[in-house]
Amino acid sequence: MLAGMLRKYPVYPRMPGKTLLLRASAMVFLLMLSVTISADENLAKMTVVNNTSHYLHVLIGDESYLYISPDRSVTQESEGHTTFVVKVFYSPGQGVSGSAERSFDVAPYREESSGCTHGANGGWECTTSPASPGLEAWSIAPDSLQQASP
Amino acid sequence: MFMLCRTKSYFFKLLVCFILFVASAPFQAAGAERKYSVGLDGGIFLPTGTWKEHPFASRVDQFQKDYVIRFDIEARYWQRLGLGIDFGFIALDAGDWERYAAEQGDAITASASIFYTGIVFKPYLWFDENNLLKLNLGFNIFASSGEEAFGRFTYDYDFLGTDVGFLFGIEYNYILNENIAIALKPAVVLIPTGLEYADGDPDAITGFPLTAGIRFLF
Repeated sequence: MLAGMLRKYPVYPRMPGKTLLLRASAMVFLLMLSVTISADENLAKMTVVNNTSHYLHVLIGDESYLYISPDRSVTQESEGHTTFVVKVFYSPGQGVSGSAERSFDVAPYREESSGCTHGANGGWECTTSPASPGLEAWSIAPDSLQQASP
Repeated sequence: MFMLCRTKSYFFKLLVCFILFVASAPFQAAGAERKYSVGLDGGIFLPTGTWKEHPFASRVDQFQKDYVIRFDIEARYWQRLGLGIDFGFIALDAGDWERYAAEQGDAITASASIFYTGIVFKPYLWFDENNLLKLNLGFNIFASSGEEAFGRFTYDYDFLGTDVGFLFGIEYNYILNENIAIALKPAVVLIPTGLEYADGDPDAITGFPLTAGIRFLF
C-alpha cells in the first residue's frame, strides 16, 4: 500500500532531500544565533553622557562623535577587554571652552558564574566569578571640563 | 550578440555579456556615427537644503558652494541611448564656519568634500548635425568626508559617510567637429541619507553641480 502511495505521489521520494535542507538550515541558524549571543557576551561598552547645556565633541579612540546635544549620549562598543581613551571638549563656536580626557578599562559583559572542583585535600573547592556589566559611563558635567581651550 | 546574451541565464555570463556589449558598441549598426565619448567638466557646486546649515550656529552655513570636477566615459548603443560611467569630485567650502568660530574665539580649520562614482543612463532627447541634448540619469555611490582641526584635536566629520544617491541632469553638447564637442551639464544631486549626526536623524544632501567642459568623440 505504501509503495502504491509512493508511486501515486512521486513527490515523497524527494522529501528526504528537503528535510536535509531544512535541518541544515536550522543548524546554520542555530550556529549563527550562538555566535551572535557569544559576540554580545564579549562586548565592552563605553557611554558618554552630555550633562552640560552646550554641545560637546566626543572622541573615543579613533572614532569621533560630534555635536552631541545637551542631555544626549553616545556609546561605543568593542569586543573583549578594552581600554577606552575618551576625549571630550565643547564643540567650537559656542563661546565657551573646556576639555577633559580620561581612560576607562572596561571588562566585557559577563554573567555571574560559579563552579566547584575536587580539591587536592579531597574536598570540594567552589569559586564564584563576579558578573561584569560590560559597560562604563562617563557623565560630563560643566565642572568636568577644564576651562581651557583644547 | 544581443540575442546570445539574452539566452544566458547565469549571472556571471550576463556580466561577461555586458562587458562584451559595451566593447561592441562601435560595431553595432545603431545609426549614430560616434560610439564612444569622454567628457571632462568643471564648474561650481551649489548646496541647497538644511544639511548645509550648522547644527547650532544659526545663519551660518557649515558647507558652502565650491568647485566640482566631473569625468565620464559614455558608450552610445542605440540612436537614442548612451550608457556611461561617471566620476566626480565636489569640494565644499567651510570658510563661513571657520570665520564664525574665530569670532567666538575658537581657531579651527575645516575641509570637506564628496567623491562619487556610478553608472549613468543618457537618453537622447534631441540631436542634429551640431547639437545634442540628452538626459543624465546617474545612480552613484557618494563618499562624503570632512576633517576639522581645533587646538590639539583633529577629528573626522562622523556625520558624513558613504551612501547611495542620484545625480540627475541635462547635458547639452555643441559639436565643434568630428572629435570635439563643448558640453554644458546642469544637474541636481540627491543623497537621501547623506548626513547623520551621532544623536540625530539623517538629512538629505542636495545641491546643484553646474558644469561646462569638453567632450572627446571617438
